[in-house]
Amino acid sequence: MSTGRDERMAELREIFFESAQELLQALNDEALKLEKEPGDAEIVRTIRRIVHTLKGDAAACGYRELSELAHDMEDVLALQTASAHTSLPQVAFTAADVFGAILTAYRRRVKVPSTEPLRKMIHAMAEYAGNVPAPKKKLAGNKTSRSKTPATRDSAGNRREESRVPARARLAAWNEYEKLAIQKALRQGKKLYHVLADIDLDCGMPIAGRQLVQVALSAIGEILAIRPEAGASQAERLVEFAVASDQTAEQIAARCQVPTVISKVTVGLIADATGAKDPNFAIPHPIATFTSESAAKLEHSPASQPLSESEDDQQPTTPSHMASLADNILRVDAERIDNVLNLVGELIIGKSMLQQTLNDFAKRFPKDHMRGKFADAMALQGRVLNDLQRSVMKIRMVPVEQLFRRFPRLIRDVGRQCGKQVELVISGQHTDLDKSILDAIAEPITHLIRNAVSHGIESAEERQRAGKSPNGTIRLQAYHQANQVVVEVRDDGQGINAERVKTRAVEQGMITAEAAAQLSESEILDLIFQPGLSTAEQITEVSGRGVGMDVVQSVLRRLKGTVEVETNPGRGTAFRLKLPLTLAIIKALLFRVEHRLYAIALSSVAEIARTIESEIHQVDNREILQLRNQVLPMVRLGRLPVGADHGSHKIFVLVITSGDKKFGLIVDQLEGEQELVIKALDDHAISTDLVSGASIMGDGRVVMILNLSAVVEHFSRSRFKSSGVLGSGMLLSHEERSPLGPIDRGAQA
Amino acid sequence: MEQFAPVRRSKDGQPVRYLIVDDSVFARKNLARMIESFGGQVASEAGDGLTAITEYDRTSPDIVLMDITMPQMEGIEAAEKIVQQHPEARIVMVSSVGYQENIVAALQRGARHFVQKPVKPDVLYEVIKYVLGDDAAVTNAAGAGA
Repeated sequence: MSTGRDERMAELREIFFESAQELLQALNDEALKLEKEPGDAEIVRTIRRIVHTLKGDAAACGYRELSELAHDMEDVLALQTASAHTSLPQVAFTAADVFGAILTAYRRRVKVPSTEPLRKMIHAMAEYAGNVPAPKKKLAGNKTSRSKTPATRDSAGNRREESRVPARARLAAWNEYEKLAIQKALRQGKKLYHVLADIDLDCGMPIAGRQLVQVALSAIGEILAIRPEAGASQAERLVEFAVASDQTAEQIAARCQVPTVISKVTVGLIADATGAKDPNFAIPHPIATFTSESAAKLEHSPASQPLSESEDDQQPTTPSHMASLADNILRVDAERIDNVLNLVGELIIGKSMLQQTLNDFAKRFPKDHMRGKFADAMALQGRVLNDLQRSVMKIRMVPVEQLFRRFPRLIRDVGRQCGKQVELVISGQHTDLDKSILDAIAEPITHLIRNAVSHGIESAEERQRAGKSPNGTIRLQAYHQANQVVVEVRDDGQGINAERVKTRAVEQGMITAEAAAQLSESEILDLIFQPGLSTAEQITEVSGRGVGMDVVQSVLRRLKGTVEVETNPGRGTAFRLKLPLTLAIIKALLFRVEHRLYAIALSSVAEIARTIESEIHQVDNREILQLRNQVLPMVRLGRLPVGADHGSHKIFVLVITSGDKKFGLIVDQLEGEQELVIKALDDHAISTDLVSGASIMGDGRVVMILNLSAVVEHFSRSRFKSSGVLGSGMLLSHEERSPLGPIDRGAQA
Repeated sequence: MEQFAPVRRSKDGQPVRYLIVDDSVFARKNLARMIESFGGQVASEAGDGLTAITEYDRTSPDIVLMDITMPQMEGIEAAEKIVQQHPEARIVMVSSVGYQENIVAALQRGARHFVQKPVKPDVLYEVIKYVLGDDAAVTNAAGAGA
């Protein structure tokens, strides 16, 4: 029909897809539970309820295949014997998969995939229970198609009428008890009516319909007898009542005229106080007959016209329909929020411009009384801006549970493939994380979990030999740490054998044997993130880890997060993904190197130290600084000062923690802290991975944001190659480096 | 676009207020749309029977549309509890064919009517008018209280 209607339908379908996805997730969850506690009636009920909801929703959207399949499944779940069947969890898993595939097909508007495997399973279960639902399904199908075809419906009224004619004259034979009750009512002077009600053929629930008439009648009189008797299971479409009432036949008929349920009512006066006393009454004259008016109305009601090919549930609504929905949830395109966030970013730049101007003003007119007013206004604006930023960020935040919920099924499936029993323990699932970050880490975490199950956790026999419980455990947890969110995947498997990683790395020519000998254990573990080491199955032999680990690393780097490994041979391995709360805005420390402005995330700076050049020592081919009682490796971003007095040259050292590493960055000058709005840099705008983004300062200057994990990696790599000169001059351009590079100093070492 | 003639409360000519109870968000939205096309107003929504009871107490709706199968407390029990507290409550059960016995049980416990899922707007409209009886009137599109 009109586009407005199509749009609404499309929107409704969108909601359906979303909620259906939730239902499938729940189905998976319950199936997992059922697998642990087979035959638990409560879980089976929940599963049935989920399938039922899915069925209803799908039917309302006009998705026949899905709703019918769900219907069959629901029927089977209702069978006592079937619900105790041991294969039920498997059926539920298959159902979740098949339903999921159907949904995907609907969404992409492609042909619905084969549902045969699930149908077979359902059928097998029904047979097992000695009850084949197939005919039932047919029935349901027929019913639907009947009510769906307007043509049938048009004629239905007439046909119904005809077919009921012979039955209409029917009068039940009351039993002795009922006769007594009738006689008693008559003696009391009540009027006795015979009510014959036709249940509408479109009413799918005749027994409920009958109950409704019964309720209506008992409100105006006393029901002395009903035919068919209560408890009769067959779906009788004609119901008879003997009612004692002091109302008129018309009133009674009107009362029974229940729309959508009763198509025709005939009320006859059997006898009154003055009439025949014979309880085996003659056939009464129908004195009030009402045929469903509503049925006629339905014919031209616009809504009964089929909407596309579907069972239509939509009605045109006012444009404000969404606004008045009570649960107040708004579905917004992520892009719109990003736009707002972008504008907030611009505002922050604007704020620092103002701040800058104000500083200049204060310098120029130190005694002007306007200064205080400006400062107040700035402070207020700053506060509001902060709140605004936080609020917008919050919109983007979702609990990690959204992601975590997928993993129980994954672990079960991978565990089955490997023949291992693995339990998943989840904690901190309510920790919030930026949606785009959450989406981005889905793959890495899947990877880590897969690896943990297939390689990390040993077989049951091996575990028992090692004195561990035969079932492995994987702990998945999320928590806040400073300004970051940490997602940890921890297994209690065999751990990573560092020696073998090292051997392998040397064999593959990634590092030299000498360099390898110098590596600390954590540096060795970092090798598993190298692409070279992660390709083939040798990794499985080597360490039980590594397939696609470089992917994990690269995703984390893109997110400006880090990944750390901690392993305990024989006790297990933990991967910690440290993620920024959000991608867009960081609190940064600004500094200068070679007169250029750079920034790093303030959260990664542990400490700032001042020292002079002569405090930096060369040990073992690297520059170090002794800071109180610890020895820090140094990364020199600029070039070494030259000249006789370079030893007294003042420098700043930023003590950085990145992942589990701690090191010092040698910089020339500090510029202070500031909130920076990160602007992504195109790949062709910059040729190094050491810089991950840029930002604009209040005064228009551009600042480069340093990518710490790349700096660290660069630094370690240059050591493996033992190329002589340490991380020095890392940020220099090629031209700057060659003529002036600190080669003498390096050679000296 | 076609619209049902708005049904308003007889006593004050205000829109009829509904409480929608269903564990499916989708089903709730769907019903909400229909209700609005009847000129009604969603007073509240609930996803389970327990919430339905508290929401009834809080909002005193004119009509409750109640699903049968829900977590925490099923529709029948919730309907029964609401009717016990508020005999005037008009509860319409909304469910699919497979739950006929439950609907019968709910009707015995005080629910006023039922509609079958998937809900057809015209059917629901008729049911609503029937259930409201004299307490509501169909107004013309101008919205003048009857």
